[in-house]
Amino acid sequence: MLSVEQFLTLGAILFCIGLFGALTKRNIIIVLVSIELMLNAVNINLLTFARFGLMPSINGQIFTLFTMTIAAAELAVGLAVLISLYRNRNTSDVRDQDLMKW
Amino acid sequence: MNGINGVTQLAFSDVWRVMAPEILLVLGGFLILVLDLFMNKESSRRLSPQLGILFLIAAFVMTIRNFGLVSDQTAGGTGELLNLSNMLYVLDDFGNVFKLLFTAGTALVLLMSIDFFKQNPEVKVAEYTYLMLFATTGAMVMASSLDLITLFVGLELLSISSYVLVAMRRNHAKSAEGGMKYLVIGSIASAMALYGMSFLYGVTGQTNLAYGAQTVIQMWLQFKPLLTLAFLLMLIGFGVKVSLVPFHQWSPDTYEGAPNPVTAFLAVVSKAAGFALILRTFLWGFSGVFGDVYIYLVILAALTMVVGNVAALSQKNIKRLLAYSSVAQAGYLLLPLAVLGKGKSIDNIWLALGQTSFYLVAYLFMTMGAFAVLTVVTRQAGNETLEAFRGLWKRAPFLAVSMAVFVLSMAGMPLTAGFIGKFYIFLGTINTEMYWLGGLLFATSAIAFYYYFGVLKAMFLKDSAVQSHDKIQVPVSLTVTIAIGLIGTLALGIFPDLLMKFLNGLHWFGQ
Repeated sequence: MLSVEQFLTLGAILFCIGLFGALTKRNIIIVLVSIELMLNAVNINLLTFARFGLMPSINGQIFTLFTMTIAAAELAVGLAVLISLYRNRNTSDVRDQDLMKW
Repeated sequence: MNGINGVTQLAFSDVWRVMAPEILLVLGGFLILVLDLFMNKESSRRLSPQLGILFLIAAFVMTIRNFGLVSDQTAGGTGELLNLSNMLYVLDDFGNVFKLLFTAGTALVLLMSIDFFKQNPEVKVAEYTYLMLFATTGAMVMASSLDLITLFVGLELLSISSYVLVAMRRNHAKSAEGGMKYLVIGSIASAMALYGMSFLYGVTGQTNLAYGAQTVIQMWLQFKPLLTLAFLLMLIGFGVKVSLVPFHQWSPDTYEGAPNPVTAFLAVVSKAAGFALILRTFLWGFSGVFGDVYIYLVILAALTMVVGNVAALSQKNIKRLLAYSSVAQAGYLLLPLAVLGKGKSIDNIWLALGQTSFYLVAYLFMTMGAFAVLTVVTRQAGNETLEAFRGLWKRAPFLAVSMAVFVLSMAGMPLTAGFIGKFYIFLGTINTEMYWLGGLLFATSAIAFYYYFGVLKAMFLKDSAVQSHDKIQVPVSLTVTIAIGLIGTLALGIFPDLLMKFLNGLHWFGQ
């Protein structure tokens, strides 16, 4: 039987990996994937609390459905903007996005 | 509700009472979407923005009607808010004030956009217009919802629409770059806020802020670290949306890359929506324990005022200068909420909400006006540096004088709306005896005067860089926007009571 702490730790680890990837990776596609990882960590958290919380309720699962839908929409827009960016600049490297500085 | 054999039915009229403006805007958005399929390109380009403005005005009128509904409900004396689905969505004057701001702001943005469409034939007008309407709907949901799920959906509706709007000019590299930066940072912020929300849900066991607030108070002693973590994560997530320092780095780049009307939209409507979300979440969810967490808000507000104004000093690009100035304004706007932690009496909440709303209205007028002037001037000069404003007084006195008024209002010159707004916020810091914050407000305003004088000096004292003293042609739509901004800024500066009386008489949370 897994305990609530183990699920929350898994969520926290995933969230930190996602945050680290989003802030350090050079390819924008990997950055977007890392953001998805962060959102999935949130989903694990919500589902844990829906099952084991102080006052478990169905709301957490409903929240997860909304999160997944919106994450998909966000990623779709992200890829569309990335395509537009690639057509203009011919690169998807984070370090090349330097047209505007300070 | 009509009871039929014990089964209750949610009639459309009940929904309409609570969310009429939202329904109108969504209808308008879909109407424009469908009409675009059936009309030829020319008439769609002409009609879409006009239809959009029409629906925004309709939503504005319905919001004014809602003030009456709220005061009727309060006079009824049951002490209950007009709400849908067990406090999922409420109708109160707090939401109404913000809805007025959003609809008026977006209507002005669409008015400015008419000229932008003429200059950029490659932009898809209908898409742009319905995205604006949907974004405004998202902002409204953020201002009136009391449930974490609905609040999050509203936030994302606004954010995702804004990402697309920023990156709308497809063959414009800066536009795409600004959009990408906004998208990446905005998505990380949403994930952070969501992670915070998940802890809040875990401790309270429900997603509703109205019911969850009681549980937060009960659980505070036992789960203080976890709840503080939830508060901080949500603050970071929302702080990115309103560009609080140190989460402001996206805003200068995005503001520079976005088309001018979209920049104005981000600066006014999106920022106001972020503040509505912050006030709604923290004043409801954390109201009982606000004294323990307000210190983080104070730190962020102080940092934002200082860094925003100092960073603006070295800017040569006028849009970046306005971006940093809008970062600084976010600091001023956070102050009324931040000082609430010390003032325990309930009256201070209504005062703080009045101060924030007054400053947001003033900010709406001056920012819209400034961006309209900027659009004309930078297009004629062909660049966006301060050089473009050189000798504007000789080329176009009307533009120069209006820009001077807007800029002085942002700096906080007496007789303009910006001064009165700042003065009310300053009084709030005195009321709650946070004198050093009031002092900081004054000190940073002094810095602001310095860089705004750079703009004034370029307009009035220097000679034009371009030899030909061509008269600048100002399109009608932009003239109207500038005139509205000018009238609003001066009227609120000279007769602040007009708005302040109205704000003081409101039933903010339906009390």
